[in-house]
Amino acid sequence: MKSPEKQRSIRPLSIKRPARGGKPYFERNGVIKSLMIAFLIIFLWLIYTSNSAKDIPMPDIASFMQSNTTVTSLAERGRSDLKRFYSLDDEQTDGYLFYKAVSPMSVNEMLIIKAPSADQAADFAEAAMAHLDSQKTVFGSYGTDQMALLNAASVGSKGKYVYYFCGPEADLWYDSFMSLI
Amino acid sequence: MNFSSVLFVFCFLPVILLLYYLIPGKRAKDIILLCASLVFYAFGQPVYMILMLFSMLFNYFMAADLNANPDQAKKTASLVFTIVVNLFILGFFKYYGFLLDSLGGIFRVSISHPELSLPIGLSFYTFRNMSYVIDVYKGKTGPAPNLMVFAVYSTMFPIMTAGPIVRYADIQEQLMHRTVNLSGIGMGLELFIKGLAKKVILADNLALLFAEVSASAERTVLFTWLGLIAYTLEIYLDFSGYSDMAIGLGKMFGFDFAKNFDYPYTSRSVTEFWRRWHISLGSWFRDYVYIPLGGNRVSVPAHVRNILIVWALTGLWHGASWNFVLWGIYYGLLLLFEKYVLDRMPYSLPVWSRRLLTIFAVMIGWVFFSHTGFGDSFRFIGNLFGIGAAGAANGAALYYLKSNLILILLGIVTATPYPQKWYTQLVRRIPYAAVAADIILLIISVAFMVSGSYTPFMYQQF
Repeated sequence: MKSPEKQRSIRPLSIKRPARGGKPYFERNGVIKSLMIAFLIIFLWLIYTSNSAKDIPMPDIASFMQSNTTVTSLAERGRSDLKRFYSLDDEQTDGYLFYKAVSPMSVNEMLIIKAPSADQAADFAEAAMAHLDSQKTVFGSYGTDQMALLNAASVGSKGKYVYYFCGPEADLWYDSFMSLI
Repeated sequence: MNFSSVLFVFCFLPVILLLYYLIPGKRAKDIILLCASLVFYAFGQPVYMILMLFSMLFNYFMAADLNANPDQAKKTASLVFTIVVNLFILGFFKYYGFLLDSLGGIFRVSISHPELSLPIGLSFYTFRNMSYVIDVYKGKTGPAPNLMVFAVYSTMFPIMTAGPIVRYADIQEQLMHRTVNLSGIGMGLELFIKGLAKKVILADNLALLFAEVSASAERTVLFTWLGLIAYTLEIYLDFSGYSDMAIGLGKMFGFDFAKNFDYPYTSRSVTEFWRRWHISLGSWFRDYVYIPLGGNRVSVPAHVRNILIVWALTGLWHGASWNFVLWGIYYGLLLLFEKYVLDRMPYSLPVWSRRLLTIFAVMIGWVFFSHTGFGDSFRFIGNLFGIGAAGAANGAALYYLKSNLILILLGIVTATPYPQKWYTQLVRRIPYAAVAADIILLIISVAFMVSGSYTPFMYQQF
């Protein structure tokens, strides 16, 4: 416990006026403000250009991705598996494409979800991240090959879309999908 | 990360609490809490953590800047600049699409624009940080003594995603000197479990019932009422459940946050309802918008204008959509009606009928809140009274009523003060039984959490 004298000595301000001869206080603060605003504008511009996506109907995305045989070599999955692996109801989505290897020892998997809004996409992306974490927990102690694929998996959201790409072709799937949206 | 997720309850929270309690020293605890908040936030949206940190640094700097400025005019200019920047960030993520769509609607052109996801908790932390700068400007509080103290306040994970909008002035003392002890953990855990149970046992299952009703093309009167009752209970249990969890987490870390809900569905007027519902938001708009506009100490036309501005903004705060504006204005009009008509009547209705009328008005309000299209809202309201409905009731509606009756009754009872009264009596008479009740509630909640779908908190999207 601090003594009362010490408690009183806490200065309620961290920005101090400069000593004589230094740069005028408010001029210096003006520079800091300008830098902060410049940073904000650059950040928002980067977010705008990198996080937005075109509005492509889900059937178009499905036919585009299904033209890749490495996707269709996996088994197509339905609503029950979406709920089982991601705890998501298909009714909450605006469509999805889900492929997963038949073998439970394989981590190869491709999921694309179109959410009703970009906000919901962020929520779904959280569910996809949770699935990736649970896969890592399952294979962490013995599946060296699986762990390598899981560590290289692409999981995230862009605009209204959520993606989970895991497998030897994950980078290719990711690039194809990104080129489409 | 969601409070009602297995990851949060069984991994994140225990690890952070353990570190927080084992490592001595206030500064070390601050660092742990700050790191925990950053990890919590980064788990969902790592990119937007930069924005959250920017908001924290910017507002900290601006508060210190305007506090140090002796010139009142420059001080005011600094405050205006701070508010403009904060509102610009909020507008960029939340309202620019709405603005473009609205302009497109007016000029009958389609303005395409990419959709950006809303940073989690943006509205909440922006309002929290703005309240700090305004309070420093008004002299209600001094600026934070150092960046660490403000960073802990601004990024605090228990109140990050959906409030309550805790003000710096209210927890300033706790930020400097707080006591953490087992009693705080106990009380915090109790609140957290109650909130979790409200969310996963009741709210999430009521949400399924409402989803069935709103997705149905043909609704009977009974089915529509069932849906509206489900939504009314869901939104309360979801949001008050979250608030309980946030306040409980605060207690575990040595903070006392004021309550955000006070059994709003037992209110006897709409005015009272808004004193009991989302208290921190209502008081924010009262102190930072309504009173600066002149409050009620102005002429009647100016007062009407003030009320409508505040309530349109309250609606807009909830989401960038016209239905929220309509919902806000609906409440503005109800409050004006109560003030200028009902309060001047020579007699008043019995309490039970006032309660009934209030809950009815609130439920109609939820129709506007839950439907983005005006047409859908009015169709739903029409169905409630048989207009356009597929009859009074049918087999499907009766089936839904029977299969959800217990859930609805439990929801209604939970929305009243009685369960808390019973629990308090139990704690007084048989403390061990109260602990057992909490443990049972936690076990049931976990069972629902594991088997249920991923359902984020409703107010997280705002």
